[in-house]
Amino acid sequence: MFYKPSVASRSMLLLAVIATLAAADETKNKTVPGKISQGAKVFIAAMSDDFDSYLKKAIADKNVPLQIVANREQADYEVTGSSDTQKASTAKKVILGNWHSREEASIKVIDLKSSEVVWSYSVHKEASAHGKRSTAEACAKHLKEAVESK
Amino acid sequence: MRNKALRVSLLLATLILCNVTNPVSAWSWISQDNPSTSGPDKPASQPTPDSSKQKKQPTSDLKPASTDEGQLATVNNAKIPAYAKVYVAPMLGGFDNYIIAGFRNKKVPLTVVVDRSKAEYEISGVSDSDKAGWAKMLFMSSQASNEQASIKVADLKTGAVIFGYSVHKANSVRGRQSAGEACAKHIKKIVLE
Repeated sequence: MFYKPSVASRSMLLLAVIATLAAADETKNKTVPGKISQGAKVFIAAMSDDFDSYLKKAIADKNVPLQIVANREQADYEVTGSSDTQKASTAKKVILGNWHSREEASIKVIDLKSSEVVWSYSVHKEASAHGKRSTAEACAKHLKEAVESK
Repeated sequence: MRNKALRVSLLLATLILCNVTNPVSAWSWISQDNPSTSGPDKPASQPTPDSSKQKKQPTSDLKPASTDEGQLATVNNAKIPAYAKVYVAPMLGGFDNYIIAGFRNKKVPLTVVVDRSKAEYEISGVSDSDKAGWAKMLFMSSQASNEQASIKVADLKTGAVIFGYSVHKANSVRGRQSAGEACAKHIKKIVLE
């Protein structure tokens, strides 16, 4: 005596499997509060001194597992921040023999659904070898660590 | 007539004698009513009515920080519950970003939101940065900047300022990052964990 599943039970089982798979796919793209999920869509807002351009390039160079979008409405997260550059003055060059600029930057990642700041980072380089590129890469490196650690 | 002249001369002689023997006590009745004329003869340790009032004031409102970084003030020892929603208002030069980054570095248990209507508390303030000049580089061999910042925390429900803090760093090794972290560190002190 073997149990023979009916057509109705088979279809019910199939529906359950489809629903489970769909839910799994949904959770993959869903933003978890306080965490940056891998492959999430990120919008990088305009920053002072075009720091956003350097940041976009750095995110691509450092292989940060995030997807940059140009439209804010399509994004799960938004990256905002500020940066400041001071070129080496004559005094710095003559007295200290240092040609490198002084760089400062600070960014924050906002979850657009909850409006919460989920991650932030600031960097200061007294003598930046590659100017804004160095600070942008520092931001991207730490962002990558934050994304991959979660 | 002669008697009157004698009395006047005696009085004058007494006054002169008093003045010679004890010059302070002779004119003390003048200085008692007018403190501005007391001058250096008045001892510095003598308490005035105003100074005694200042002593009576509670010292809990203004607490000096453990370091020489700055001073913080809490109103009625107010505290912020952990993971309360805080809105950091935009500040000059993007200093708000440095404060938020300081929260992360100092592990301050607060939730920062960018929508003010969702927040329970608001942090606002000002900051200023002075870069090292040639004289500082030449004489002190230092290119560190001079940073100062001042922030306040307000309860958005009551509108009351519950906390204030100011920081001044004459030689800030990491510029605004240092000032932002100092602010975050002291905000952490009023957060209930």
